[in-house]
Amino acid sequence: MLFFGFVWKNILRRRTRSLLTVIGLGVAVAAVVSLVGISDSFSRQFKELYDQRGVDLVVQRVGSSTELNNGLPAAMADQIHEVPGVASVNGGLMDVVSFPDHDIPNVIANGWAPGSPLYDELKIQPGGRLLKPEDHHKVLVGSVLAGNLNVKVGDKIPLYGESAEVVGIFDSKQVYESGSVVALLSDMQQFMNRPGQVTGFMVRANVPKDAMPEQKTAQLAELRKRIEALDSSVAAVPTDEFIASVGPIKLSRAVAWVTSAIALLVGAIGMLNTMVMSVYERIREIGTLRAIGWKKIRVIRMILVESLLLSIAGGTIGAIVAVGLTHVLSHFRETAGLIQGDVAPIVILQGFLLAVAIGVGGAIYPAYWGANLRPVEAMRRK
Amino acid sequence: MSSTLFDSSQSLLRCERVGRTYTDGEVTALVDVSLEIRRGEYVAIMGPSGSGKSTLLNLLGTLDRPTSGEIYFEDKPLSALRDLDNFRSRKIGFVFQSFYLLPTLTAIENVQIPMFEGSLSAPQRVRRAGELLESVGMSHRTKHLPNQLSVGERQRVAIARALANEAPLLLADEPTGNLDSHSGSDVLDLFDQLHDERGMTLIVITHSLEVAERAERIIWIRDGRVAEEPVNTAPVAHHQRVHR
Repeated sequence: MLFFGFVWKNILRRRTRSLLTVIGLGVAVAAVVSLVGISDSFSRQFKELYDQRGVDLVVQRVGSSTELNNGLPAAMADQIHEVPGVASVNGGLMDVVSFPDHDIPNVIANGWAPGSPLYDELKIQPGGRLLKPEDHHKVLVGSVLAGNLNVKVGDKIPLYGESAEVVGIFDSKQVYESGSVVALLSDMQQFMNRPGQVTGFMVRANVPKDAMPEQKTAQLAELRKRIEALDSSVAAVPTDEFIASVGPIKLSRAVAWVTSAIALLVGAIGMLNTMVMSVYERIREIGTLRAIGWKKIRVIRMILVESLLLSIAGGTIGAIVAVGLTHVLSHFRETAGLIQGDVAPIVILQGFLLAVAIGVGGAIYPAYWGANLRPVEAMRRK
Repeated sequence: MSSTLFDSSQSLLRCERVGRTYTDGEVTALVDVSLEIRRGEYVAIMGPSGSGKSTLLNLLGTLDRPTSGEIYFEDKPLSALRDLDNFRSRKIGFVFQSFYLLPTLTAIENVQIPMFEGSLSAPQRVRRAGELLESVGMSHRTKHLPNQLSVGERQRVAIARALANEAPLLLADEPTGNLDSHSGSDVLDLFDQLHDERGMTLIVITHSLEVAERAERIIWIRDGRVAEEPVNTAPVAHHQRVHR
């Protein structure tokens, strides 16, 4: 018989309690992985929107925590384009709209100038086309949003209280963008009463593709200074830094971790209870093991390995449930345009390791207590 | 009597003015106990309930520590030992009144438990456990759980477990206390066998004179003190019975 076999039998001895512990820990891990995973997916997608367009810097008004609240003059694009080191500048207006008749809240509405390179990443489905300069009150709709609204090319959708004709349905690699609507910049400026304004500019820098990361960072820092020197009210922020500062993303991350922390705390208490009870009920048995020659460290190892096995089971189940749950949520109409449906492997690993840490951590005190009782004292207990 | 297997003049265990007081209840279980057990002896410790005999056994077996005095094993003080667990594993086998077998393990698995602290591989542990169970007449019940064994069989398994690491000393606390007379007799026969054939040193706690008479010597405990030891002629009678 192996030591591991002995430990495994101890777990199977109390099947119901072991199962409940695994479930409790699994729920905690599922909460962590799914909430943090969704939040992480949100920021990853947002970042990919910029990365796939080669955006190096985002120019916005200084001090704005949410890019939607403040605008910059659209004409500033020419000034920025003149700055040495700038390869291209693209401005746009962004807002969040809803379609209450279809119970769809929080849809991104973009306003882009006709011919803007920002359209390049949109793949128009057959039967549709891109927006032309004369396409006022006409829109492109992302495929996920089109499905949720049940619209096709030629149909009309309500936008800012007016009817807008769908001229094209597009696919995007990001579900975030596939759940959005695109109108002409001039239309959005009118709808939002922000004449001549954009929310910000996406700037691509003239950095050689084979530049070392340190070189690129240094060149972008210099470019940033030159752009910010144009006007003290603008900030030119690297994409990563910009993503990290976006209010909704920060909020979603904070909410995810706070909620996860609560779930983990509940899971940890459950695990601690299980291990304390498990040791307490077996204290006479532990005394016997010590009496017949088992060292304290072996007793501690036995209890910790039991806890580790329960944690691994809980972590695995939790991760599987989280991935499945996220996938299912991504198909709900209310969330289909916001949740990608995948969970980054690093988030799954984090959740799993947390489960192991909770399991082992929750067993340390009972293991130490049980192993350090004098054998005769342990064997006297009922 | 086979005394050629060991040097019976060598001291194995020696107590010098050992005492044990429990501070929570301020109970004094043992007072000023001095005795010596020689290698290869078969000793019974007798006394009424509450006399301190189990306390003495626990101290001799390093399951507890004395509050005064010193216990020597092979002339080395136990208080100086750093690793009592290792010492118990190699030097002492225990047999308890309630057997204390692990309920989720089969007989052969229970016998292997003490061997984890040794150097045997898993297959070697299994082989040795099988041999030990055969030596106590349990080779036909190796895969049974404790609750599938009779009380006598459980105690045999416990004895096999006590022999797992070939310890020179066997401590038994009321080994027949929960057994019927037939099973109890079988267990005592096993003890005789261990003593006669392997030269083991046996210390048996009992309140039964019938059990104590199997031993070469009886140590009487009364009110936590060693009482005057009457001469025990019972072992001669036992061997006469064996050789009849």
